This record gives sequence, C-alpha cells and structure tokens, in this order.
Amino acid sequence: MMKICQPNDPFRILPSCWILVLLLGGIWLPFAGCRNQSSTSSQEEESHEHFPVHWPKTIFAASERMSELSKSVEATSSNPEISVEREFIDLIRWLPELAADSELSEKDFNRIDAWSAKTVLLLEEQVANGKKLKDLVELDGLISNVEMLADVCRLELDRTGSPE
Amino acid sequence: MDLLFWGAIVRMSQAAVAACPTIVVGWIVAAVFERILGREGTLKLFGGHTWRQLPYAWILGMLLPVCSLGVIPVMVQMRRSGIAGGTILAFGLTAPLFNPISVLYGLTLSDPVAIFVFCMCSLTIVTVMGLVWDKMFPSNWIQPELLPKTPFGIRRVGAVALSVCQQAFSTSTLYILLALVGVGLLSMFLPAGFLQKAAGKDDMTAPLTMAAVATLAYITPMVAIVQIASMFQHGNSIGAAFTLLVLGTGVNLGLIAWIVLNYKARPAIAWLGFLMLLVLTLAYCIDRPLRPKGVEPADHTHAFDVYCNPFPSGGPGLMESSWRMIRDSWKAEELIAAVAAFFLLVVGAFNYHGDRNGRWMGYLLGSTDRESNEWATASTIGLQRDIILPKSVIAASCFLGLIAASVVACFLYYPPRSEIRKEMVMNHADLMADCARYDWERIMYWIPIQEDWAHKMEVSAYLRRQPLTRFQRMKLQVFMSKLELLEHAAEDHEKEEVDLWKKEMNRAFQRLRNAMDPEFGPTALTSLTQPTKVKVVGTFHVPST
Repeated sequence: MMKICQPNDPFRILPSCWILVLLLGGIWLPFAGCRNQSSTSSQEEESHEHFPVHWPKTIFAASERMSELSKSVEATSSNPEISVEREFIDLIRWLPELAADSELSEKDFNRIDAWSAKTVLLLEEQVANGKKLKDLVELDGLISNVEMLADVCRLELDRTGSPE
Repeated sequence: MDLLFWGAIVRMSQAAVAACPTIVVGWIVAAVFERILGREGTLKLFGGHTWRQLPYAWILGMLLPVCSLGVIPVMVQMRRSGIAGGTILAFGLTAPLFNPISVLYGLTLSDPVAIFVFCMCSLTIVTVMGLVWDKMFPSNWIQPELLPKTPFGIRRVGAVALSVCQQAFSTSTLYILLALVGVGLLSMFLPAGFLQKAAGKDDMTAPLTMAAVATLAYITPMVAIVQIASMFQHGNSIGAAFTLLVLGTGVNLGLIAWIVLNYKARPAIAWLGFLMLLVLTLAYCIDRPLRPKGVEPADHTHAFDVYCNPFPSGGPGLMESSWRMIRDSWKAEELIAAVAAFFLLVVGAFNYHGDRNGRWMGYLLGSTDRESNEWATASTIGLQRDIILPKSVIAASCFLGLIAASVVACFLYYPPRSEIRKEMVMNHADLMADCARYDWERIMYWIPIQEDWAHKMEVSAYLRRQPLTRFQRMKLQVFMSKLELLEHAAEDHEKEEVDLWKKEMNRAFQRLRNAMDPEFGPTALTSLTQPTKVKVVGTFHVPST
C-alpha cells in the first residue's frame, strides 16, 4: 500500500498551541487591565502642534519676514527656541513648499526652488563656522534675491488679489 | 473588558483579511513544492546543502509574494524537504520583507539611498542569522520523507489542488491563527493612540519600543513600506523604522512558535535574542546617518495606531462600530482572497475528516509509473495532446513566470496616471461632501484611500518612465500634508478646523490637478477667462557651492 504523505495532523499540536496562547494572554492581560486612564490622558495631552512657531503661513509672509530680517540684522528670532540665523535658514528652506502652496507658476517655482536648495547649503556652512545674520545677508546676491522674491510675491498678489 | 475584547476582534479581523491574499499564495506555493517539485526538487531549488542555499533563499524570498503568515506553510514544506534550518529561517525573514511592488513603492516614497541601505542591512541580517544558525546547530535538517511521484496531466493538477486544500487545513494554519492572536494581544495591551509619540527623532528608546511592539504585530510588506516612508516624511526615528521593517514584517508569534516547536526552545530563543540584538545594533548605527535633512519632526504620528486598540473609550454600540471598522478596511482583492481561503479551509476540513486514509490523494497519485510511462510513450508517437516537459523547463518557466507576474502585478497595482486622477477626483467629491456633513467616520474612511492614490500616482509615474517634475511632486506633497491636517482635525471632531483644512485641501487638490494636467485642469480653464499680467522680474542669482 502506497504511503500518502499528509500535512501534519492539525489537532496534534493544538493543546500545546493553546497553552502557549493562554500563557501569553496571562502575561499581557494584567497590563491591559490598567489602561483606560492612560488612554484618555494621553489623548487629552495631545498638543497638535503641527508647525514650528516660526512657520510662515504663506510664501508672502515668508518673503516679508525675510525682507525684515535682511534689513534689520539686530532682529531677534520669532521662535524663542532657535536663533535668528536658524530662522532665516528655515525660511529659505521652506520656500519651495510654500511656493507649491500658492498659485505661482512652474517657472517661478523652479527659480525659487533652485535658489533655496543652493542657498540653504551655503548658509548652513556659514552658520556652522559661527557666522551671524549680519554676515549672512552680506553674502553675494542674497539681498538682491530676497528683493526679487518680494517682487515675485508682489506681482502674484496683484494678479490674484489676495494672499490666499 | 468589552473594549479590550472588541478592540482585539477588530485588529485580528483586519489583520486576517489583509493577510488572506498572501496566505492563499503561501498555500499554493507549498502545494507546488510538495506535489510538483517534490522533496528532492525543493531541496535542489534552494541550492541543496551548498554555499548557494542562502543567496537562493534571498532571491526566491524576494520574488514570492508572501507575508510573514503566508510564509509559514512554505517553511513547513522546506523543512520536510531536508533544507537546512539557517536557509529556512533566512527565507522566512526575507520573503515577507520585500517584494517587487513594495520595494518600488518604497523607492518612490522615501530617499532611495535610505531604502537601499535598509535593503542591504536587512539582507545582512538575514545572511548572518542564517549562517549563525547553521554554525550553532550543524546538520539541523531532517531526512526528507519519500513522496510518491505525481503523475503528469490532469491528475497532477488535481493533486496540487487537493494539496492546496490540505495545506489550508494543516498545522501551519494553527500557527497563522496564533500569529493573529498575537495581534489581538497587542491591541489589548496598547491603548488607543499609545504609540503616537513612540518614534520621536531624538527618542533613544524608540527602536527598543518598536522592537517590543513589532515582534507581536503583523504587517504586510506594503503597509510596512508605507509606514516607513511616513516615518521618513515625519522626521521620526530612522532606527525605529528599520526595526519595524525587520521585526514587524518578518517576525510574528506564529513564526516564533513554529521555530520553537521545530527546533526546540533553547536554540529558538537564542536565535531570536541574537536577531533582536543584531537588528537593534544596526538600527542605532543607521539612525543618525540616514536622518533626513530639512524635515520638521512632527510632534506625533498616527502611523502606529493600527497596532493599538481602535477604541479610545468604551460605551454602547462597540459591536456595531467594530463591524463597521472591519467592513471599511476590506478591499475587493482581500475579500475575494478571504472567500477563497474559507473555501479551501472547508474543503481541507472535509478531506481531513472524510478521508483519513488518504484515498483521494491516493487515487490522484495512483499507478504513477505505469500511467506516466504510457503517457510518455503516447506523447512521443504524437497520439496524445499532452507532452511531458522536462523538470528544468517547468522550473525555468515558473521562475520567468514569477518575474513576469511581478512586473504585470506592478503595472496593475499602479494604474496609469489618468486612471488615478479619475479615482482621486471621485474620492475628492465624496470627501468634500462628508466634510460638509461632518460625518467623521466617512471622512476617516476616505482620507487613507485618497492618500493611497496619491502615493500610487508617484509610483505609477516612476514605473511608466514619466517621473513627476519637482513642481508636481511638491504640489503632491502639499496636498498630502493638507489631507493629513484634515485627518487630525477630523479625529478630534473639530468642526472649525475641519472647515479650514477642507478649504485648504480643496485648493491644494485643484492646484495638483492643474500641475498634473494643465490643459484640462478646472482652474486653468477659469484662468483663461481672466486677464493675467505678464511678470517682468529678473532672475535669481544662484550661488555656486
């Protein structure tokens, strides 16, 4: 008689399986018992701070703040947790996202994006070397680019009629 | 107690349904190993007991679309074929980690370098674990039992079909159930929202926490890759993301139980401990170098909510809510696979109880030699339509078929951009309507679907060699972030916030449509009717670095 190979008898290991489940359940359940208060409190504590304090709502706000910082090098950061240099770099880094969140054309976006990517690298290097905001704004072409961004934003505002 | 019970039921059911397609694939692969390749053929496929066994385990593991549950029946067959323990465990860890669809998805969602490093680190772990096992426990394979030869033709098809049913109603299904029980236990232990702050960028304990959670969790390869991409985007701990990938996708309670029962407790525990140690060491090593630059870390994430209890508080109607949650998480393909799995289980149970002597299989395998010889003779004289293909031809066609099926599956899973756009427009309309009605459950139902399509748009473009421009990618990113903010507002049932983010999300969606398809976008049409001033501004001075 030919021996037919069947997969293992499913009920042979059943008792050991369920013993394992019960053991594991026994270990975990006491922890599960004291759960409700922590659940509620953790939800209540959830702060929902999705943006950093110095996040500008629009590219127009970013441009305005950058102009402000580049003109007044003694300015202080709007976020007490970071330096004004860090705020300036962050604003430039966020420009592509803010530009994408506006009606700016692809051409304008690409120009802003390219400028942002290169400038952030350069500024990071300068800040790592201990340079301050007044040194940063003196970098070749930075002020003129900030002014150019302000021009782009002004034209866009004229066209759309609102920062929204 | 109701809360714990229903929470566990929801999570177990969601995991079971999500796993059905890959479990069915696992049963089919196991049946093919048993009835077509046979014990000797399976051993040969994995390189025998030579140095080739581990690389073969990788390659086959990456090609087979199975998850950590579907891999169990395949591992059972590998063990019975006399394959070394290290190779089986390497295959068991690799197969759920990667498949072509998930790697493709990951490459477009995260930094490709990071995904490449993740893949390489995972393969290192798998290789080291396989080598360590074979070194620690040499000659850890069993002598393969002899199987009767499977005849050619329709009987072989029948034998494979019956074997699939037998795989469905076998010990491997008990291990799968045990893994699902692990998912339920995890949801009982973790209150709703418990892991929202568990993977912070600067949290040194994040990989450890993730290791504890991921061992019990069940994650499909696709879900894992989406979660990892989300962790990159949200500036979460990269070490935790890596731990989640290896332990969450590769290990579960059923797999651990299988290793313990097949290789005894002490070696299994030692292996698991070493795996944890290796994963955590690599996780801490790559955490800082791979940290994405310029990403603002989010204060919390909802990526891991699926491992926690779904209900923040108890109350009446938990049963109805549970049913609705389970139903909402079903996808069409998963439902079809669930029906198929149920059918196979029923037939398998019927076969088990009604045919304890194995007469059905005996009939299908019966008088093999005589019949196959007859058929072979008949085919050579051209009287029979069947031809007997050499095993090498069958193996080569299976392998190439697997690759072809993977490619086709990628194109099916990621439809053309135009199709995705249509789906997104329809979902957007539904989402907007539900936002207007403040129908919280429906809003929470549509947002993940819309997010999924948005992800698919990027992968589809990449797959069809029409990658999105930086402008389009940023529009997509802005849209996704607005969707996420809407999701947070809807979770908290904040009507004012929902109104605000609905408006923002709608605007971002229209901009995305225009960016993707400028000639057909609605705002492009309206802009034609409005005079547009010509911008005359200079060019930005780009500094040279």
